[in-house]
Amino acid sequence: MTLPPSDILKRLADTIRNDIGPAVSDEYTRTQAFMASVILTKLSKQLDLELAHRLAEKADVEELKLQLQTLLNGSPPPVQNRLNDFLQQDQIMPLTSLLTELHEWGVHNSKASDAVELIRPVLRADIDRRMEIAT
Amino acid sequence: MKKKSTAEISTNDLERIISSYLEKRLEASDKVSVSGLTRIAVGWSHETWLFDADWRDHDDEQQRLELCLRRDPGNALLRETSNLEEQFKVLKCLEKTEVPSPKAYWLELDSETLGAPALIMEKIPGECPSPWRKDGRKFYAAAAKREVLPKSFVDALCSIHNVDWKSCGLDFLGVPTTGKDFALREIAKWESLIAESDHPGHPILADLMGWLISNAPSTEKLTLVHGAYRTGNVLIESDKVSAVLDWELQVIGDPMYDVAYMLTELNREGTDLLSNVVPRDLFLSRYETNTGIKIDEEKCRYFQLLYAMRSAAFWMSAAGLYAQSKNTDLRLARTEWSITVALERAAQELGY
Repeated sequence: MTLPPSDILKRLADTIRNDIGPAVSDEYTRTQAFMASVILTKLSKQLDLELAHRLAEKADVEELKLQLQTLLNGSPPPVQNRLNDFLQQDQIMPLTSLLTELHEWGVHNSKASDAVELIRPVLRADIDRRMEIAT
Repeated sequence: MKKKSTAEISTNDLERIISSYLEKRLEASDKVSVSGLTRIAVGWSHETWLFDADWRDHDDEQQRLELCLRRDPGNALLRETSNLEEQFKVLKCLEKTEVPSPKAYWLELDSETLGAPALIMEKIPGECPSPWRKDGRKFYAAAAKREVLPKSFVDALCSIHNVDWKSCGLDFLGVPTTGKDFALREIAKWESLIAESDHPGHPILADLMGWLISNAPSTEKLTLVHGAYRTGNVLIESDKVSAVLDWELQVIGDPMYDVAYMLTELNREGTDLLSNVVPRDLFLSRYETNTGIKIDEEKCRYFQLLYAMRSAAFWMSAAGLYAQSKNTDLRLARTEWSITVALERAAQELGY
């Protein structure tokens, strides 16, 4: 088969929505068919965008690493530990623990609040990418 | 075919089980006839069934009760955060108050008697149009023009906030201390639901939770709080609220928690009317007059962010139930992408 996987998923979604779903008489099962079609459409979009999203995330993360390393130099050990975790990866998920520590440190502390403000545009960009699939 | 969980049951079987159960509960001289058994609100919460029970008592008098059965199949969205025993106790306490609510009859916590933990309560007359559907929105727009339902809807909320919760025994719900305790308890509750979901989450959620903890407002006046007071969660009869439903999220807490839910844009679609039915000015003045509570809009904005966290927790729980194979409903799997929408909104509310 030469079709890309995302196209196959999209076609499956269309078949379920247009041909299979309407032929089902039971309301619950018909709703399930419709939902299956919605999910397959989203997975298809996800597959389509996966590479571009991963590269964009990696670029954002690399830039943020440099900024945070400078800003958080000399921060308390718990923050430093979470920062080190983040520095070892090329994705945003480790920012979860870092943000928790930064909030614990206190956003009234200027370094902590500056770090949160540096992180937020990266999170905005990430959620915008996810919204391309979700909506 | 829908894959059936162990708690699922056919209408015929349930009819037979209810009939046999009621024969023991009612003073019936013979069989209790159960008719019109229909499942409604095929949602993600507890199952809801409506039916009529007819029987002859020991004086051979014909009797009838219109009833509502709620069953907990053990895979509902709120997991352990909501339970039928608490709902039953709340309804019992509310019987002594002005809050329009159904009378609670029986509670069965074991899974044998009615096939799953269940409570049986009065079926109150009224309709419950969905504000998420076009016909529902049309219903509320028309009712708003007649100007009766908007007042009744506000008054029912006021009746909840005016309840003397201590004297009617609602302190079993847990009473926060004055100060930040209420907000922090709510954050902890939704954090625990998130943890149960096994969902990896997202850094925006950590940012939101950190912000919520740092900015928790102080609560001085405690009231009964419904937790999800909006159209769609009340029954309406002749343009008046005949019953407040969905007693699953109630707490003793800050009344602004409910007010924030009234004011949020999330509960109205394509209209400025709060909850699709109440003009904002009417709500603000009538609520303050009827309760003597001043609306604190800044605190409401805080609670709207707390609702963003709660929404994310709901969707994580839902997606988690599917991922954990506890529920096969594909609508739950679909909520994986609703988490993104909730977090996007949270980011906006946090200013980015």
